Amino acid sequence: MKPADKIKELVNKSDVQTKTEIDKRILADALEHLEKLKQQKSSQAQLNMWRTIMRSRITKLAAAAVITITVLVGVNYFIDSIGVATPAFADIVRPFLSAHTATFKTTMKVEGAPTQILEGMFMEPVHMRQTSTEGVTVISDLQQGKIVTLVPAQKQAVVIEMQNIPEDKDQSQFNFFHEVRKRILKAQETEDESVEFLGEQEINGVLAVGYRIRKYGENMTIWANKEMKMPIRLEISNGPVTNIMSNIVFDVELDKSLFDLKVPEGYTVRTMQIDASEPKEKDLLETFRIWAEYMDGNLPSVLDMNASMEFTKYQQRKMMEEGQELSEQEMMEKMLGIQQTIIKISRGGMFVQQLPPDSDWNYTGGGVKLGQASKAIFWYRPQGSENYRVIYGNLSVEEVLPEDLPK
Amino acid sequence: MVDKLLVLRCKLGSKDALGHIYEKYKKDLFVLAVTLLNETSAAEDVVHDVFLSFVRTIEKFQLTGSLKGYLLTCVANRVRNVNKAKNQQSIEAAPEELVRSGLNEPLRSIICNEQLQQLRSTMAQLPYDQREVIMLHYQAQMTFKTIAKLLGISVNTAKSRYRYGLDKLRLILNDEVKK
Repeated sequence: MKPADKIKELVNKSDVQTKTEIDKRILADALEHLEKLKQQKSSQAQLNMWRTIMRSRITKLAAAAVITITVLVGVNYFIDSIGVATPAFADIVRPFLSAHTATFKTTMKVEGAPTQILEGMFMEPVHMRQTSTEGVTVISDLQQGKIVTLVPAQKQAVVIEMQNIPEDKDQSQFNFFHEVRKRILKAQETEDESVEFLGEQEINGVLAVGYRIRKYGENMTIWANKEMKMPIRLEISNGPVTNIMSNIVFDVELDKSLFDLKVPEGYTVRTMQIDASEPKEKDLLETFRIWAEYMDGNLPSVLDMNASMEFTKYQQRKMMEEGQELSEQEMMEKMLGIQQTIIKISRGGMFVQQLPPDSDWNYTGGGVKLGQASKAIFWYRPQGSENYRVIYGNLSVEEVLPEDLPK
Repeated sequence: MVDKLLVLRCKLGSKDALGHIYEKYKKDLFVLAVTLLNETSAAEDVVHDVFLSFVRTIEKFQLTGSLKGYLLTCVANRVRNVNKAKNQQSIEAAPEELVRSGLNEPLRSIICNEQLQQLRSTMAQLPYDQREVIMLHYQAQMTFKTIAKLLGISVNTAKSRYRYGLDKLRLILNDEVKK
């Protein structure tokens, strides 16, 4: 046998056996370093992941989905009850109520993700247009019950059609500006102590006066030019999400074509339907079921805006990992699927948030797996009822007396 | 594709992914390290250092070729650094001493099968430069151009080392047959 062949044969047949302690010794420092890296850089890693997502051609659409979701879902956690107005408060919010059009910048800050900036436009009655720095545009018209997302870089469009819209049901949660307007009106209607005067502060060289409306963990702060009594900054925070409206200009001349819901030629259009009917208990049950299906059998840790972000981040992370093996077409399909799922899940959140304060709702499903029949995960008192509805880990529902509620 | 995913998961801090990479390529890395060094405990240190270094640079690491090729290159580089540190004393010692030292290693080290024992004892009789080129060519399946680039030598020098190494191996193997 030639020496080259002999060496080749020996190389091919060479093998080693390592004892467990040797494997551990070799890997120990590397694993320890990896853990340190994970801990020290977790925030940075999240930022990098988001940046990767934003840069990636394939997953740019996923970012578009997040923008749409934030526009759609992000604002619907605002609780309806807002407190009181003072004369000065009424003065500074008046432009929000009387304007026919407005332009503004929305800065969306989400913990663990880079800040997103959207340029917004509003036109009465309920037209809205928001464009991200990435060029993704979301146009909505609540009268038509339609939201169009345009991704010019990929010539892709997602059309969302709201179905089952109740005639008497306000859909303002789908329009940031309109939602703000509605909340100001409510603040002026009722009188309690939930509006707090924040005093004066200089904002971008302008002396401003501020008011905070606080209720149920929500914060809405409005700052206005003291002399002109014109709003210059509005901030709404809820858990990990903060939306800041700035550069506000009222009654600007805007071309109606800016709010045209017709998708430009050459775009690939995907259409999705969302249920806009009043959310019911069954929607909450469906939220739990879907959540567990997509989150390894677990139920949400909490039932608020943090839950929505937890789900979105987890799915984005999975998408990014799986994206290594998926084609662009498959990625697009997956993104749309996740988008639709998030919309479905949001209905459970809407149901909870629409419960009146005296419903005494409670969620204890954090750490519970779907199917745990003995674990009560959610209970509330329906309006006008003495008894409570209790949902268990297997999604069965029972009506129980107040004294029989889980301790 | 699978390796890219493993690297990505490592970047995200997955210990499982790092363990998976180790299990997948440890045999190749040990065979190269043991053959180049003819010393299992030193080979352990080299593989240890390669993995530690891999994690330290994981954030900026971009997998462009094969992960196996990358890790084997790291092993070869690390072995050369070890040799420099040792002033090549053990590598250039008398072949008989090397063979003996390899056989008398402490029990804690890795266990080499018969073929690997034969490979290391045979290759230990070559000058390190020739052994390195032959192993990178056969075990890491590198072209002479790649080896030349890695070692900072010309392609002709890489080929010469390979040829001289094979000539010497022919003599060694013939001697073994005669014995």
